[in-house]
Amino acid sequence: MAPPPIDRRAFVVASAATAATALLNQRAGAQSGPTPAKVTAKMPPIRVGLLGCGGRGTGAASDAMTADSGVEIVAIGDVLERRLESSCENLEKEFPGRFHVPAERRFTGFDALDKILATDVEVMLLATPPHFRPAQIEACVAAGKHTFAEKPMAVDGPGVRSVMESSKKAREKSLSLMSGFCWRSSLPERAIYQRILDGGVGKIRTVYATYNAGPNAFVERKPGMNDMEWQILNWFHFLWLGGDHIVEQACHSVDKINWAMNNEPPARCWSVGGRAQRSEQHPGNVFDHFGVTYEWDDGRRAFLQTRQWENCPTDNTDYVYGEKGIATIHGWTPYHAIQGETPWEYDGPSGNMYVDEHKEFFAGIRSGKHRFDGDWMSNSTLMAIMGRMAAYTGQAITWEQALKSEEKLGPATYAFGPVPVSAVPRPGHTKFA
Amino acid sequence: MSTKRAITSVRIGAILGLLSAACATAARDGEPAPSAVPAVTAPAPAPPKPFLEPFAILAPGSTAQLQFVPVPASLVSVDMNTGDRREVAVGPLFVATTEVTWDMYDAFVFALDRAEGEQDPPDAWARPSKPYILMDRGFGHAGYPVISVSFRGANEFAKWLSSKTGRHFRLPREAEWEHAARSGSAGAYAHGEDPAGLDATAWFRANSLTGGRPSTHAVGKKAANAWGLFDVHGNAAEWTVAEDGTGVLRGGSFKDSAAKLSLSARVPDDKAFNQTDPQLPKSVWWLADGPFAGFRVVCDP
Repeated sequence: MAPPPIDRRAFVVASAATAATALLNQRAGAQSGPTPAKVTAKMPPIRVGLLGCGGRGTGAASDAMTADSGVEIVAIGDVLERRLESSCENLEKEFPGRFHVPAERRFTGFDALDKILATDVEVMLLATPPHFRPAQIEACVAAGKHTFAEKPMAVDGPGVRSVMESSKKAREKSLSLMSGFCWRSSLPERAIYQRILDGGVGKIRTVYATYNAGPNAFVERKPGMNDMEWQILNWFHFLWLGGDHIVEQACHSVDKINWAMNNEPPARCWSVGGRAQRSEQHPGNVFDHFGVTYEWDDGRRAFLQTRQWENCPTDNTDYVYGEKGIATIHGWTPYHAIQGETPWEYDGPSGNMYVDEHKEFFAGIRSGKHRFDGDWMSNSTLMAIMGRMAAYTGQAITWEQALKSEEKLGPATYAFGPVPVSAVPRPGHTKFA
Repeated sequence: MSTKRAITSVRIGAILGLLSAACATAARDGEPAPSAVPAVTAPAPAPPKPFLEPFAILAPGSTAQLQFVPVPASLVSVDMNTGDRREVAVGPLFVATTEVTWDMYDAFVFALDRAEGEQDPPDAWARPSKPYILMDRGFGHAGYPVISVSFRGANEFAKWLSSKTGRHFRLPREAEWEHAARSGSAGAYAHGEDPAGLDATAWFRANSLTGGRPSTHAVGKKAANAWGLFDVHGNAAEWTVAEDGTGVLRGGSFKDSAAKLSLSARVPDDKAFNQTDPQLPKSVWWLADGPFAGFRVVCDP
């Protein structure tokens, strides 16, 4: 059922105007946030591919379809067939009559992305475990696709450098490149961070951020399950796949520190971390807590505390301390306020950041005013990675060191079979690489 | 701690004097004695028939105690979820004096009640998925009411508690909840008609701020209603079972204004409570947009 043709030029002008309004709203710190291009049944379709069919990837496809009525998921891939099939079932249920990906466009295996990119997709949604992201972004940009990449962007220094390189190319090619640092699309966060950057708390001295959560789920190993499949299903728990919880989860808090600091990388950091609750028998090799001090050369500091502990209070708050006020950002309730010389409290709508980010993404693709996170998404990722490096080694780690790190995590090639698990790091003994 | 518990026990003991007669007439002959160790002892006037005595249980896998008091039988007018009202018979039954707390629910979610190598029985009940983040919103944990739980999660908790203790715990029907919360009051609230009285009995929008934001508070810190039930208004809104079997939240929450705490206020289950779950399928256990949703359990005699 092809949509009726429309005047492409008229459509572009109209949606560009809408995007401009969105930008004005954003600059004014307005509480209306991203305004999507006006979507009607007459919108030309946008052909989208999904790679990574877990709950988040399937959710991202749903968000994309919700955000823009022209979005058509035309190809889909995952390393595991049963997960791909259940993802398709869920999307068929959620979008009856709209989601239909024929069998010949469902790709499984480690080369699923290549097969998707060989189809006619215009946009890729990447939601596999983070380890694979740098090579995926590189391939998508090389193929000229607009790309949404779930956070974090990489798990190691070489991966971040690759993403930085791909970002440059995406900009040169005028491609949209959006990260899954979703708080950047949250209306209350946008309002308060814009205020902070406009001087709402005066000159920033310190940021204190927490991501104190509970333990992650663990999928039991069934008889006959090989290392690779088992580790991918439990990717949170394996360093090479997820980068540890400071990189795959608390990166949201790190990203908000980076946001407050206007994307100026810290000079150095030092950390504590370990496995306080996870016994030696607990599968996987990631820590369960980190504390990081980031330091800038002008004396600004940021402190991050993150843990995955059971039976303990949780917290996800950011405090931005400036010379004229303190901003408090509660991610989970939400509550966003500034106390000090100019008190302020956000009382606008919360929106749905997961859908709103896709509204902006697709509006940008349609209008040519591309959403481009490439300037900061790599820095936020590397900030989290350097915090992990400092905790693992027990040493102060500089930004330059982290950026030039040659440590590449994970196996050289990917296949279902044995995958060795590296030892849990030991601060003071584990060497920086 | 022990002083506070003693005070609570005394209060419950005093209430029992009022309740035991009503429950005795409603209780069936041959009622088995409660198997759990009673936390408090009722006055023992040697009644002609067995009557319901309060009791307490240790939540499996935790050190948290859940106390139950008897609530007498009654005829209660209830919304049929269609706008019509009907009179239904309720009780007698036991009602938990407090909302279920995080330490109790954690034991359920993280299987803290299970010995090393022990398997859960198949099909009897299901444990919730472990959430990506704990859903307490940073308000407080041990001793604080569990929140962000779905109607299903609350139901399964009651089934789990039953299978672990041998008693029959469940969510209250709406009529049961209202009857127990009302505790004889004819007003909009358990204490009467005046919203000003809520400050003494409830955590709600006007008094629940912590660090500037509305939040839950430890259970049982405000005054109980006439039958010894704490936090029936405010703190967590409580899942109940509507006459058509669906979930309805009652009592209002820490976020709500006084009007939404009234005994007649009801909020049916809604997809909007989990609209921003970024996963598909969305969790059937946790409510990304339902920080107000908790529950208390009741026990059939």
